[in-house]
Amino acid sequence: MEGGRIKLWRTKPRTLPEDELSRRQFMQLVSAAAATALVNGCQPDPPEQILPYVRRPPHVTPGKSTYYATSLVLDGLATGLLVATREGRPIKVEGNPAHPASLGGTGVFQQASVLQLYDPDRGKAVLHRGLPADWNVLDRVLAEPRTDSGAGLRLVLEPSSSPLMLGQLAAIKRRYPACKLTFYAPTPSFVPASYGAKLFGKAVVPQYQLAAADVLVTFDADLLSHPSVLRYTRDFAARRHVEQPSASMNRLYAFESALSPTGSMADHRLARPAARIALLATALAARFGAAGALSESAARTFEQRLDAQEQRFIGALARDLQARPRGRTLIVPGERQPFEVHALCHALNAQLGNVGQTLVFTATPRLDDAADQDLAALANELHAGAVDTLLVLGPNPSYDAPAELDWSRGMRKVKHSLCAGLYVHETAEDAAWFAPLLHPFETWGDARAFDGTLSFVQPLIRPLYAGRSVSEILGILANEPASVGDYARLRVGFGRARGEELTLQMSAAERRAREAPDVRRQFEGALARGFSPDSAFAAIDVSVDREVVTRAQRSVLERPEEASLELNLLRSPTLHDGRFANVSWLLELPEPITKLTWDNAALMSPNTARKFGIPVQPIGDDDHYPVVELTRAGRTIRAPVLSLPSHADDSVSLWLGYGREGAERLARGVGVNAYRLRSWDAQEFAPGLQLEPLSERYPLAITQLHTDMHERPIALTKTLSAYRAEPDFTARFKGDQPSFLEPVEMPGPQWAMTIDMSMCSGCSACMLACQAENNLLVVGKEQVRRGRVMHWLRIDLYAEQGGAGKVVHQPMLCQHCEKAPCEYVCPVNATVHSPDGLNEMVYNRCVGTRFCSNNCPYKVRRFNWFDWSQHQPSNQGSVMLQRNPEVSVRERGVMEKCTYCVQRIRAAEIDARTEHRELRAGEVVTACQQACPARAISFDSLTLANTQQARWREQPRSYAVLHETGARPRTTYLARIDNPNPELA
Amino acid sequence: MHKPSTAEPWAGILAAFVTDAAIIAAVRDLQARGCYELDAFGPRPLEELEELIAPQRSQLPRSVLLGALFGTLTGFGVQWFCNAWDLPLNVGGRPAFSLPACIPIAFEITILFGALTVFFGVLWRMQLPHLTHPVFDTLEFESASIDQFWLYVAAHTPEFRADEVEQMLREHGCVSVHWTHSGREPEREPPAPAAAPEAAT
Amino acid sequence: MELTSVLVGAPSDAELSRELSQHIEQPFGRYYWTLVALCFCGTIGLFALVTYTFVMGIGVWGNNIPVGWAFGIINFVWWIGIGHAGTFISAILLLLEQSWRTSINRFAEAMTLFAVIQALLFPLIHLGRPWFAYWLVPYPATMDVWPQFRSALPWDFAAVGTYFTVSLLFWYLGLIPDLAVVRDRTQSRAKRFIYGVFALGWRGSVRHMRHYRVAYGLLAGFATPLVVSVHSVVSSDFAITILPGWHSTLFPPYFVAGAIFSGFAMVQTLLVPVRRLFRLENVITLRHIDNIAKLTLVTGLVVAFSYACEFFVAWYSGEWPELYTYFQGFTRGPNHFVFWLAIVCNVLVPQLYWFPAVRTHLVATWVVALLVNVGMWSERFFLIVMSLQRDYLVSAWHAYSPTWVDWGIFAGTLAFFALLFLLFLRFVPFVPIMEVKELAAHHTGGTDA
Repeated sequence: MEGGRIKLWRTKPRTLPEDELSRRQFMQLVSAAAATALVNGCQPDPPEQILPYVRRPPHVTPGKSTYYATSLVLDGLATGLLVATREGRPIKVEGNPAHPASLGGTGVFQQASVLQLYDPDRGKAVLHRGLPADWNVLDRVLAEPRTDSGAGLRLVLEPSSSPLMLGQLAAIKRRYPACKLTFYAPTPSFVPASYGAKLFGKAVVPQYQLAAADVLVTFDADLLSHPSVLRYTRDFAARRHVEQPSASMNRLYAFESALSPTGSMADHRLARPAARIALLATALAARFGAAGALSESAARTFEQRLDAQEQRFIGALARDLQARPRGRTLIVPGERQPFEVHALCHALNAQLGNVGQTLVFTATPRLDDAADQDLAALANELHAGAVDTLLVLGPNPSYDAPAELDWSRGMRKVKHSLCAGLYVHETAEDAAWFAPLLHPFETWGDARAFDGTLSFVQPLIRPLYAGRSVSEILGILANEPASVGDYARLRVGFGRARGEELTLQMSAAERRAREAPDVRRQFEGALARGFSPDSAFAAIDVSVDREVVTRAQRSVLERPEEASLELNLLRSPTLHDGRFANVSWLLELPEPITKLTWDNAALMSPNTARKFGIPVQPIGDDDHYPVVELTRAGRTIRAPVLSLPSHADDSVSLWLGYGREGAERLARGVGVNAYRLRSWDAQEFAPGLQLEPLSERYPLAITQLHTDMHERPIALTKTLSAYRAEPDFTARFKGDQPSFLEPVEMPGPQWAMTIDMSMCSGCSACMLACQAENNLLVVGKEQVRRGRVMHWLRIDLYAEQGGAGKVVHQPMLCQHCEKAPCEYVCPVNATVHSPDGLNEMVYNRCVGTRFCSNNCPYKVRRFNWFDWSQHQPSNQGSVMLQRNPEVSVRERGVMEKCTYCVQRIRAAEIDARTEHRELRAGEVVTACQQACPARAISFDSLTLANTQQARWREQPRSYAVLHETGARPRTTYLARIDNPNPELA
Repeated sequence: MHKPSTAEPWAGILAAFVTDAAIIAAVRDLQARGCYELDAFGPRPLEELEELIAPQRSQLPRSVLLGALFGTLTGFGVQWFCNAWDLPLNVGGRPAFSLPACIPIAFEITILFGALTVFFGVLWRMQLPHLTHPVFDTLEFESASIDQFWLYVAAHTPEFRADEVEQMLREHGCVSVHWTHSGREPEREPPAPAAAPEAAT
Repeated sequence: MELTSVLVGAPSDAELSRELSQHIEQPFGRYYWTLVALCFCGTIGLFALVTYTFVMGIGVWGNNIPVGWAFGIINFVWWIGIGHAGTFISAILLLLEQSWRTSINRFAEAMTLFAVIQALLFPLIHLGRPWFAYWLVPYPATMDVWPQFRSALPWDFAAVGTYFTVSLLFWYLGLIPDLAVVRDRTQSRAKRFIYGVFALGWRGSVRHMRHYRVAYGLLAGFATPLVVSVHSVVSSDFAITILPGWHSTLFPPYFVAGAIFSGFAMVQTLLVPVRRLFRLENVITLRHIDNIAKLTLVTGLVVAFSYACEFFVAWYSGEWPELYTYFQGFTRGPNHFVFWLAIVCNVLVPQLYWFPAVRTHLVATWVVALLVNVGMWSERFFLIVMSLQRDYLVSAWHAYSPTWVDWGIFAGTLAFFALLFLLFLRFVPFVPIMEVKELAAHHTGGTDA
């Protein structure tokens, strides 16, 4: 590389005009703005080329991460992120603490998105009929003006909340009035505004303020694993942390069919088929006459339809709600439930005075009403041959559209069809053209958060492949000037909204001349921050239309009882709707409840299993599970059965997103495609499932095979009242023990961690954060089955035996014992104790006797049985760009384990030293702690006074797991406190 | 019978006996006559004979004791040096040097050094290996390891009278008498090839 | 039948010399060489699989987290244990002046040596990075780090290394006079030279005898505490941990008893066929067979008692992990059939040795011995693997299942052991000639050939 300039792109680059502000230059500006330092004086480089570090940009320090604010959009809702980039490589995702949807926390999808960026299976070039083609050709095809005013043109987009896109769609409509637009997402994570319109006469959506609620009731609503609203987890957890026994906490009642993280946190949980939940909501509403009084007979028959347990549960719940002051409770209907449930729940909320207190209604951030028709209507058009040009930009209907729509066949009928996607997925194979989309980290864009906050998407790296953003493609349809890039669109849109006279037709120079300095400052500030402040929607006061509610109630009551087996289709907690199915981290991430990896399964209760003669096998050492044939509406799939006591009877739950058949190498053939059983009219759950047990068995890779605690004091739980009665119930499990060994002198800070099990809902974001931070490699299904998974941090789940399967989550990682059993058995001094209290693992010294793991009572050590980076293809290729340069990738044959993120500790110490000061409280944040949306992890030095951790450790309920072994773990736990209703306890 | 110079080492008479009793009697007789420089060879130990010819106790055990003690010191010393002196680390909060943890290795090293001293000590005291000992020149001597006892009478002692000694040995019923270093040509290959050069002298 | 005599008839020194060394001079039959060929192939297989493990990584074995140790350590402990009988017979019985040991001690010592060779293989190959095995040795490294002697593995290193060295010296020292016999009997020049060199010029001088017998006694004296210490140290690999099922102060005596138990069983397993094949009925009499059987029974009872103690202590401790490991993990956990196999083979089967008929019936005694070997291997299995399968944190519990490589390597060591043994039978006087002569002389009160 003499001459100092290297060509970056293999494929032909998209040339931005010279006067266009380039991404790289812009990043400089942003960070400059962030650093409130120099703005001008950076020579713009030709966009094809980058400068080597001999002349490094002023804001980049080699060996230090630079953080950029951006957003990840799921189901059209933005979550604010801060992404760490190292010398231009995004390597780690953190939440944006200032962003209302994140508050600094992340979920598994946000964490995994950085690996998806580097996914070697991503679509890399334009394909025409499967053969490599050129963008220019496709551009010409798209740009070609239509004569039919768009009558034959159809667009399918993912649900969006982007003002930028709204503008473009409007432009397209102006140009082609007859074209029709469809938003499609297979798994809803947001309530359609149409519900609001029906119920209140206003297109509003609810926004929950969980922190304000003393009593929470969820009807099939999994608030705590919401893909894009992590705030809910935080607000909820804040009310679960009891500082003193005297403190108060909220109470959660959950109605659901399959155990979810939300259900696992519930004080009372009623497992019922999803279809029955509407009835239960009605029952509750009826207790309050929220939907108008029932007629005598109706009420009587109605009560008969509830079984004893339900009546008792609803009764107690109603009395509990009644007893609370107005506006301190909250009833949450799940997105999966039909309109009736929403109507009844919000009627109840209104009646209990919760509206405006624990929930508010605002305008919807999403553009749903810009749609002209839904997917079913479009499918009919396709089959009718009414469409000549179909653009599917993002969604993957060939895979996830209800099979009865027969999407693939319809799409193949279309003359000109374009599929744009991150991967060459199933739909791409049905389309004439495939166009690679840019990853969110490669593009400009905007979107709104759940509360309307306008958030920005910034590129963190030049596109790895010759992809485009959706808005760039729409731009061509809207006949925008070819020279315009997304940045210009964003800037113009932002400016126009603030009274700047900017148009896309202007040249960049013109625009720069016309822009108002203060707006520009606002814009740059907003980009640096990641969102524009106080852009959240204002609450709209609503009044329930009693008529609608009464009708809703009646329709629920009149709905015939379904005796048949119910099919319950759930968004996968790890793969979402299937879009993440090729991300190895997520494939190997244990599902929060079953700890299942690399597969999905048919979940049902043991009773249901027995009813169908399926051998009921508790999850255990034999990991071969019975396989059943599931048939609905003439379509059949085969799936292994996991029988869970926590599951509702007469219902079978399946996760969507598996059984992919696209070009993604990892995703192919993992699990079964539950979409095949889906029908349009009943997407989330449907009766009439036929189940046929088969003789064959199928191996499942489950990371935790035993959930019975065997009366061992591992994950302690107590009810709030019992805690108050006996605050020091953990006294036996902490404090000093007699020992022959004299205490060791330990100078310097003493690192320690405390985890509050009352707050942990098992969402597993911490596991992925650890994986990303510490270069944990993926081992594959067979090795997981062999018990060789490499997660340094795992979340153990213990289930109360016999009962309804009440569970507790316990994050388990190296406990950094002061008298570590692992250390004294190492023959070569490869694991020793650091003066600041870390249990250190010296990879270079390890010879791999595995004696340390044998003697670790927590079994948190992980061994490199193979050279995983060679042994597992999924660890090779471009994903290696994600690796954290601060952490070595371990060699074959050495032991590894949690280090308390020692690299972060050392970095903080160096900073402190360069600034000639002591370490500050809260300065070191471990990866798991930073990711945790619930803030259940506290980490700090014990030498620092009055840190959060110090306060936590002083709580009476703090204790050490396996205290009796005398290992003196540095990691302590706060026992989980539940707050059951005495009436039901 | 040619008689070589008695000045040569191991010059003397070798006589073979077939019974324990005979050779013992012969030895007693010779010692009565003052022929003290004797050695006897046999297929198995014969304590009576040892009492007569080599009555002094073996000194081996002393050196072995020293070797073993040296082992003990080494055992403890190395462990103390490595873990307590040169590189003291906090390992599981255990003390840098604790006697109990060091006993196994010290014990084993003691035994190892002791055993090595025994082996090499005994070889040194037996002056083995010595593949080319003059007695091997006598072809029939190979029976010494099989079924016959051989008596050696050194020639260089003043009391040595060759014919008397030979005469007496025969009286005691020895089956054959040979001179070591009898310069006569062997009838066949020398017993051990290694012995050949000696045989040539 | 005559049980009292350890020597049938009154053979002369010459006869004994011939009988006990003729196998070296006479050519062996085809069956022998076929056997050697088979074992050789097995040995090649062993080293092929070891290479495969080195190339691929230890992951080709069945080990996992939590079961960090499995076949590797099982085989190590098992082979070491087998070794113990040899030293026990040659050293302890020597000090106890058990004359009957004479004709079998060389044989038993050889077995010790070869067993220890197999055992020594495993600590090396079970490492994640075997090429750094030498880091367990205290040498001035550039990294300025030393081994960590609180760990039981360096203890092992010292113990097993010492054990091998001492056994070798002991064996060789006893062998010197007999090599001289071969040297002097053989007609082949080459053999005369080779055995001559190894005989170190032994000439049976009474002046040598003095030192020689002292030295032999001293080595026996050293070997005796050694044989007790080695398995005690090996047992501390487990006893020093805090793992339920391993953490037990009973382990050292328990392991030593088990070792000698399995060792005698192995001697019996080998002795019975060899005695038959080489027609040694008059030097290896039923008395020997009977005594070995008796010792097997005694040590077997000690082992059974140890089991009882282990379970009692687990129950008496009242510690929930202890209780679970012993009363659930072993008896009902994954692979529990191995536990029951061990109980049957180590506790019930040896009871047959109460019956003299069984002890002296060659086939019966052989079968029992064989079962005891199986039982002892199973014991190592359940102690090591099944304890690891079920430890403190329930969430980490995971079953263990071996791979074909595990089995292959185990079978390979059996072949390697057999190969060494066959060669030993061919080229070394496996009954100590000089000692037997001495014994015969004591019987007949001097020779009058």
